[in-house]
Amino acid sequence: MSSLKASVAGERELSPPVIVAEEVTKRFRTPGHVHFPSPRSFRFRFEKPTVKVALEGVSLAIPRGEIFGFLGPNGAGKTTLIKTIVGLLAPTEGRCLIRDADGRAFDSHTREAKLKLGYLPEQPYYHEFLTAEEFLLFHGRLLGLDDKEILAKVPPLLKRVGLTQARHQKLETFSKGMLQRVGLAQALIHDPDILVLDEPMSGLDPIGRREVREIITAIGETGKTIFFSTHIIHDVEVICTTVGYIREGVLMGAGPIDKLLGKTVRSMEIRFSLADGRDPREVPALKQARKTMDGWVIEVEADANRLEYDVQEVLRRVLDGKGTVRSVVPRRSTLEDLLFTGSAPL
Amino acid sequence: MSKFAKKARTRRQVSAIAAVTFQELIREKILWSSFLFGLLCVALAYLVSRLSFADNARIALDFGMAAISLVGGLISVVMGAVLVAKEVHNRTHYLVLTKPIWRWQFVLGRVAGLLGVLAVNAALMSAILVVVFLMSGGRLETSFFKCLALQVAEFGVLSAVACVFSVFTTSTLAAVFASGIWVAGHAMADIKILADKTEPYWMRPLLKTVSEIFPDLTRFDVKAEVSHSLPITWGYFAGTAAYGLAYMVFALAAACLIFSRKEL
Ligand SMILES: Nc1ncnc2c1ncn2[C@@H]1O[C@H](COP(=O)(O)OP(=O)(O)O)[C@@H](O)[C@H]1O
Ligand SMILES: [Mg+2]
Repeated sequence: MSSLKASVAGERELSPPVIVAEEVTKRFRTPGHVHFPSPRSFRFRFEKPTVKVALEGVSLAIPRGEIFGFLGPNGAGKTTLIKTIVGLLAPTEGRCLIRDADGRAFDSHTREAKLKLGYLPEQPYYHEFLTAEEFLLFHGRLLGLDDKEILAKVPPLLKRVGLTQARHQKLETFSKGMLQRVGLAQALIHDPDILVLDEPMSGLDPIGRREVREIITAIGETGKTIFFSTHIIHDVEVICTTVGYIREGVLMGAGPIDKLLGKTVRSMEIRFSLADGRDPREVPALKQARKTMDGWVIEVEADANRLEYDVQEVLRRVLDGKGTVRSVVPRRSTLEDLLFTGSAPL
Repeated sequence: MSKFAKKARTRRQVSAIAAVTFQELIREKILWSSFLFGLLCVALAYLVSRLSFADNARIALDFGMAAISLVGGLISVVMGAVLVAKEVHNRTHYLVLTKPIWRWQFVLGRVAGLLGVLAVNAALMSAILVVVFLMSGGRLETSFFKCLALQVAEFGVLSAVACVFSVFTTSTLAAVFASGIWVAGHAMADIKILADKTEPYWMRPLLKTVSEIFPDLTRFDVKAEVSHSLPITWGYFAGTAAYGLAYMVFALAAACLIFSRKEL
């Protein structure tokens, strides 16, 4: 029985990290304001400058080749960490590093780091008067690529994100899902090792979400490291290999998803029937049993120390009553259970 | 990578930003409405010159150059104010600034795009003006072209100044501030006199500071000389152009510096 409690399905070796955040703290200073008298309030009101702590000592290391899902509710600090990783924001304390294949580390605001990254911002805004091709040409030029090189890459890139037809169409005519996908193409022009995507699926309809999800999974299969944020657990469960969870600027934890989900057995579900169709609820240890189509089921809560004992007790009672045990199934936590109970052993 | 190749890459990145900026700005309604307004002025000038008995060509020229100056100044101030603020407000800068470029490249690219728009606008309007002028029987002199070149230099100064405001405030406020400098810059002769004489006396140091910091835009204004067929010496031309260039470099350096330190 004890093997059930600690079973970790297929534990794997993790590669060395390519994205590293070291004790990153970010404080935003909001300037003070003076409210002048108005019909609503006749007094002068001074609003003091405040300091908002968006990230508090966040340390994170994403191994090469992982699809990392960065989960957290709105306002948790996901975008802020992503902006420091892509070098848009300077951390107040700590630093973000990007490592290459040779293990050299570059601070995230350096040119070398930026060349290794592809980035799709949250609700990206584009120069919408450009066509898809002009858009890719522009961003390719910023990356220092030659026009010939870029134009050769445009058709395969657009094919990859399913926009071959829209090559000469202006971005202002694109749907939200198409914009998100052309943004992904933009992030891939220079074939970076790392992709950083801020809520790539937010604001899309279910079909759009699935398209983007499939593209991300396909990119992940090419061996790139993908860091994406979301506040939707399902996205993470479907495509990620690693997750991190942030709340109010504090990283609650991070690790491989199979490990997290495999670790915690929430309860044991025992299905059984008793001889002669007896009602098990007369037996003290089986009081919690519920009737099912073909017998009875009892769920034994995973109380850390007592689980084995409780399960064995139930089994013994069933067998004592000349019953049949049909199945004993451990119910593992979903990511949602872990996050909402706050008991994530991350 | 060689130093030469790096420089070439830096230049290519700036011109990529400039090209997109140009494309963006020529879609703006304000550009086309100002341009139409300018054309209207020139047409009006032509009509007035037909009606009057005085020197027809000169009236057309005066009118036309005033229109070019006004429209160009307006475009510089309004579009310069929008230049960076709008990108930041629309968040289109995220994709650009996460590329391996310096922030100053972004600012310079934006300004270069605007200067392109201003140059094209000035060229189109003056081409039309030249046609009108010749039709009214005028004779072109080099001073006319010197005057145009100095006008464009003034637009450059104004755009750079507007751009400084654009990097740290909203486009509306930036436009207000830049217009203030546009007006004050043209009143610089008066401000300089007032700085010595005004009452109350405590205003004097204030005006003195203004006269020292703000650009003296009256220097670029040689419309009267052209109109009266007075010569504009090459010395004056070169000196004024250098003044404009220096002021622009100064303003752009400030804009780049502020933008590099800005929290985005
Ligand atoms: N530029 C800023 N100035 C002040 N506060 C900010 C700024 N950017 C983000 N914040 C604050 O930091 C917190 C984290 O924001 P964000 O990283 O955008 O959250 P998320 O992306 O997880 O929704 C929020 O409370 C937000 O209000
Ligand atoms: Mg966010």
